[in-house]
Amino acid sequence: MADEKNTLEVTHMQTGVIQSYLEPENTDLGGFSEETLLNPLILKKILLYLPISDLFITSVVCRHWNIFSREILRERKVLARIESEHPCTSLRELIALLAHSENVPFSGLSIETPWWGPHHSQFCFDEDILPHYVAETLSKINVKYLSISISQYFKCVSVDFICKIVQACSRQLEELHLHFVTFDHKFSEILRIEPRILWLPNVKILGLTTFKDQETENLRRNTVTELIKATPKIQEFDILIYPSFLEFIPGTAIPAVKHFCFRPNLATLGSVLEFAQRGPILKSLKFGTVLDEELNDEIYSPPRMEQIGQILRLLLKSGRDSLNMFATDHLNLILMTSSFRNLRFSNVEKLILRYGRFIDNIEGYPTLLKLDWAMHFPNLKEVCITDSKLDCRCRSRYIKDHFRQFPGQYSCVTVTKLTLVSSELIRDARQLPMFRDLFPNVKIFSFQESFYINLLMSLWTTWPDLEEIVVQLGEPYVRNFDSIIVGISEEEVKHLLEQDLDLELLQVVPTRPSLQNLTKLKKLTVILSPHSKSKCNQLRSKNRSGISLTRLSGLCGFSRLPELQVEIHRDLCSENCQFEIRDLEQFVNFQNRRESCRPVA
Amino acid sequence: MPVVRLQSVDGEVFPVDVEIARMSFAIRNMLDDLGVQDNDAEEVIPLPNVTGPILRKVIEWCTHHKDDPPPPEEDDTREKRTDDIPAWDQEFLRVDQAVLFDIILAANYLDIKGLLDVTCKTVANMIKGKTPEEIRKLFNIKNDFTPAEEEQIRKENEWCEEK
Repeated sequence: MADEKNTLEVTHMQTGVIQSYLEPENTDLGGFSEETLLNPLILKKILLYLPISDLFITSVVCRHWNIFSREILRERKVLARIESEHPCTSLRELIALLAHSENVPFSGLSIETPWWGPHHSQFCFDEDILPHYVAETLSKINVKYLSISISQYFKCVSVDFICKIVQACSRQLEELHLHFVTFDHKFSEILRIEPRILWLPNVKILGLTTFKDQETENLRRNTVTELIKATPKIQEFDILIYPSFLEFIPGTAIPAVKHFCFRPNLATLGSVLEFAQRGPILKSLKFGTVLDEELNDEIYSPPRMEQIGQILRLLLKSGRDSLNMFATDHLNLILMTSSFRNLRFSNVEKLILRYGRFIDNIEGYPTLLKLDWAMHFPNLKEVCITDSKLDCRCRSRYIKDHFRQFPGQYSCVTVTKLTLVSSELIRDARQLPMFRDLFPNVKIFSFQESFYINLLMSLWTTWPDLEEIVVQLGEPYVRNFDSIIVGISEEEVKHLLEQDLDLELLQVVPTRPSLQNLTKLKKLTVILSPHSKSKCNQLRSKNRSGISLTRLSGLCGFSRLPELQVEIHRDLCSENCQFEIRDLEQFVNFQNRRESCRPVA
Repeated sequence: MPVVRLQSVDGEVFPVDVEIARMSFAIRNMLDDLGVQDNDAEEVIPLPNVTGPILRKVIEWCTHHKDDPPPPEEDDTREKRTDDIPAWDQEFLRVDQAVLFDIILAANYLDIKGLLDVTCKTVANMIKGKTPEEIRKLFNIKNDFTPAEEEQIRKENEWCEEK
């Protein structure tokens, strides 16, 4: 009994302490819900689940939401973008905007200067204002991220602005991206920074856009070397590192190499092997043997191939969990998978492949169907194929007899997204069935092309379970494509549009495959590139109506698939060329770009 | 299995397995700080910010998820997925908005990360794709911007580029 009493006392005492822990701040028993969104921790946690596009929206809801939405946008590295065409005009507009800003969404700047210089000075503002512009920018934006494109040949006050910003912020910068930077000089010289080491002491990510030709590659190598010395805390090079760069990267910076292009040649094979043995944690890998090198034959000798295989295995082993993207070409993919046994790209989800269809034509069979995709790419989800004129004469180096004679056929069932880029491939719709056999479970299909919208007609029947199509068109096409959407002939379209018919009530029965074949399609996105006034005029002269999509597509196409969302990204155009906007608006979400179609130069 | 007794603000007492109660870091810390052992059964812990009906829901969620692995640490700045709410949780959270928000408050107060995550995701999904006016209407929020301030924010948005 005494024990029981003691226990009760202890319990009471403890409960009392607990009570003091949890003294209620609000004794109102009901209506907690309204205070939920006033709690900063909760509101921020909710907002963290939103994409940037929604954070722009939530910034406008009220002051309280604005504070946290803007804070997250800044954490997400949102940059104030200074337009490239007239950077100093754009800069002037930004400064005017900042003058009234209290809580900016930006944590950095993206500045592009154009390549050309003539007649530019007319847009330039007076240099005397520059210090004010720099001060105003720095007082409103805590610049931690910079993305700049600068040419030493371009004369504009905006270049001076970039220099001053970099000079002022170099010690606080965490991320620096450089694009298409032309150099005869050191980067620090162009920026008029004192050429001392460690001038970017806190930069963790360093980006540099790829150059293609050898000359600029050497320039880039100089830039890489200079920037590596300046960035002691580098964690990631957002740069494709080539074997020739490795000798300039100190051992301590090797873990920062995340994107590597392995182009085997005799001169660098040793340093690449050494690099691979250090166990880099790569995010992306590009592989390709080079055909036009003098010593290339030696590269294909068995001992060298053995070394190449060893390097690839090492890179895939250390990057087993991190390596997400792999890029190569058709012939090298065959070489790798047939010459080096058990190469496994365990976590690679995206493959970028330069595909040479002539190889298949000459070989007489679909070569890619002979690859054991499930073994080499067990987690592949997305494939982006670009058309390429690979040199078929050298194919015997890559395609061996045992590969040709292999009777089996594989498909890659894990791929759900396929993108076709470039021209030849897309013009030849006969390729589509091969891609369907290869990737039977594609749900999202994307293609980038200008005139060959006809591909869509083949697409309606290739993957019947398609859920999303994204079409990027380079130029406005000069024809109507209602017929492709609705599944009737162009003459029938013309006839129907000329009659004053109530299309809503009209039962149009497709006479050929149409959008209606894709019953599971949820989204169709058409992205049109910016176009000029001359194109507008051209459209109207070649095509009487100048209209690519009319109400017929809306009422007899899109409306018949109620689950389908159609989105069209376009320039605002005073003539409203290409679309019967008013009649399509109920079916199509038009995303209008800020700039209206450009005047003819 | 040892039990603790959780008492809601309106006096309702819920006997709960200690292991389930310890999914709340607030309760876990209290028990640890006070030296309450698993065998101190029948301990009563008052929870003055949680009503009985909400506490019942919280306990139901914790009981269903008692064997879940601890939620992973996440990079706080990147956008996180919201399309991965388990079917059971979706059904569990099919409640009035006021109840949902009370569960969020309770999950925050009791520091139950998994429950807070899934409820915040649910609210984020309610926000996605809506206009500012629709969001204000949904949550009964007053627009306290002047038209000029609102215009300024929209203009700032137009200048943004995602890195």
